Amino acid sequence: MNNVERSGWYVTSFLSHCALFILHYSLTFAQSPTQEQLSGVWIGVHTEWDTDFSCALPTYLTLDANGTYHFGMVDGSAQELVATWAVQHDSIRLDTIRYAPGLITVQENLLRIGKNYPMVFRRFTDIPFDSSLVRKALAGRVWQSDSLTIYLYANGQVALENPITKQRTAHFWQLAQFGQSVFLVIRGNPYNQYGGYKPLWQLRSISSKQLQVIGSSSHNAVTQNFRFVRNLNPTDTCRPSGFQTCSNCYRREWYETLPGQNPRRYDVLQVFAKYYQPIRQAGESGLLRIRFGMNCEGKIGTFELKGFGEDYCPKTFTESITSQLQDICRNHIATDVTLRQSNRPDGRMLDVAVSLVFRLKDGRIADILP
Amino acid sequence: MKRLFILLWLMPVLGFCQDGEQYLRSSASMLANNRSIQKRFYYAETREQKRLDTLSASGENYRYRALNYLWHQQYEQAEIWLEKTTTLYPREHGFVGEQYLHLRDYPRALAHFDAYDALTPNFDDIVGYNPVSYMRGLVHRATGNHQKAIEQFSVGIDSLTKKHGTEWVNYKHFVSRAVSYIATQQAEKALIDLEKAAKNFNRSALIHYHRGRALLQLGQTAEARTAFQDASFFFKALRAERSADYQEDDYNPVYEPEIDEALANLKNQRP
Repeated sequence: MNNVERSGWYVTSFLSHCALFILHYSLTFAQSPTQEQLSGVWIGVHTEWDTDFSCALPTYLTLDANGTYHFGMVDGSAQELVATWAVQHDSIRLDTIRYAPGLITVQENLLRIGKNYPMVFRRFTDIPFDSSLVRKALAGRVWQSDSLTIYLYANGQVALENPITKQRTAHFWQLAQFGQSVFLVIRGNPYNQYGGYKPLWQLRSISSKQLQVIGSSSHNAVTQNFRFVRNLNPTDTCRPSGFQTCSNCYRREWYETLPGQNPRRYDVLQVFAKYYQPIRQAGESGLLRIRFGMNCEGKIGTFELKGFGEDYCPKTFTESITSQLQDICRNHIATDVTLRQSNRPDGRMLDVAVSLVFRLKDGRIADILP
Repeated sequence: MKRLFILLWLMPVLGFCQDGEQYLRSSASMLANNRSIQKRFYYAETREQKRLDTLSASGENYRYRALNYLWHQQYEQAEIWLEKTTTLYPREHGFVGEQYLHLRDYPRALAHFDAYDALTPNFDDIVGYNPVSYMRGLVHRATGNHQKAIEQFSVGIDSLTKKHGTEWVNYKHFVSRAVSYIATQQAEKALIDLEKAAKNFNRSALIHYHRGRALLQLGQTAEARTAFQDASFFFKALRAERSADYQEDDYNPVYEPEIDEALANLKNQRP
């Protein structure tokens, strides 16, 4: 390398170090948004629980320029919380909580609070509507977009259907006035209005043929267009197409219960000892994992079976074993209502994801893993 | 730990929220929780998996990766990481053996415990809170080889007793050996062990239950009944103290219906 090349290399190296330092600095000491950027009304879009899983956030956050903070439910179902907020040096204080730089960001019209489980809000624009007219235009009708069909029953029930897979869930709907705007609020399950919310939809425009709402996609707030399909018949009923959890924010891992563990372990061992007829067959050995979901009403979802051989490689066990175990789960494990009980004072039942792992040896149950 | 976390923190904002007031309160707590950045993504499996993929190679990280697969019951991946861990970090053989013991895979558990013990000849290495000899004893007991189990349990118990006295021996170790003594019709030896165990923890339902079994084997039904009654009393007391899991020892589980059944069986016999 001659001197010219070497000095060139030094310059390139220096510049790249500078660039890296600036990048590092900007990541470490990210600037907080200014008071002006934060001021305004923000509508909850969702909470990002994982990169591929979000749940609706039916709240609003109002940050007044005079330092007043309001936090409430868009449907008005709770007394709003009022406090103060401020931008102090690089950090932001909301109520009594202080956020370090980088924890609250504003990107275009989205406000993100937090890093691990960010809560995402969108900037609110008031679009005046008369809710009684909107109700008249929506109730008893079917609307469809490319990815969703909405059946809005006049009795307050609503079905949401995937037009391709025809998978349908049932909930309740209502209109909520927020400012002068109207929100279509969908919550609950086929049985009641508990179990949380679906993403909020703010009405943007409505005619006899078209419906436009501001809703959310997996990572953003988006405008969704629906076209009028047909009026619902008075005889049409609102039913899910199959298994539906009562919670609208359901993830198997969060609701998992392992009956093979204490304090149910003894009863579970007894049940399988009593009802399982061992199939004496060499090689039917390894682990068999059975999972199924059960909603708050005790309806059972799909069974998922996964077998692992003694070498832990995937293995398919003979049907005489798997069908027996499934039947016992269905008839003797799922019937235990304590699985769905919560310690809530109202005694309301919960969804549950049951998981059992059997250690099999030549067709007999050697043990159930705790 | 993992379960406790979800109960204490995440669950309030999920489907548990029934009315608006609760929902708002939970969302406000969520806003507060978001003021900090956690190192691990609890119950955000996809994010956590991505984080794990970036971890440097170390015994601790490899062990955690294996555990993460075990928690999610992904046994194929778990086995790969368990084996990888011991290949690169032989000192993890003890931990890995323990995981196979939980999986009821006794041949693999034994192989790993043996490999762990072989790392330092003439020394009874420790796995968690137990000597590896004790862990090996548990494997032998689970496979029905009680004679070998007693031999292995005795390695740790005898050396501690000799050096420091029986009060320094974990009472659960005495119970484990007593269970094997009972299984091999050596009730007197079992009773000696259980007496020593009771001196170290006198409120144990576990000890009284097995005392009842040993006494029954010796035909002392009145004493056995008292022991089972004591077991029943202490079991209920422990349940009152703990809300969820009231097993004293996961390696020696005792269930309330078993105690009740033992008492019911005695009812028909004369004292």
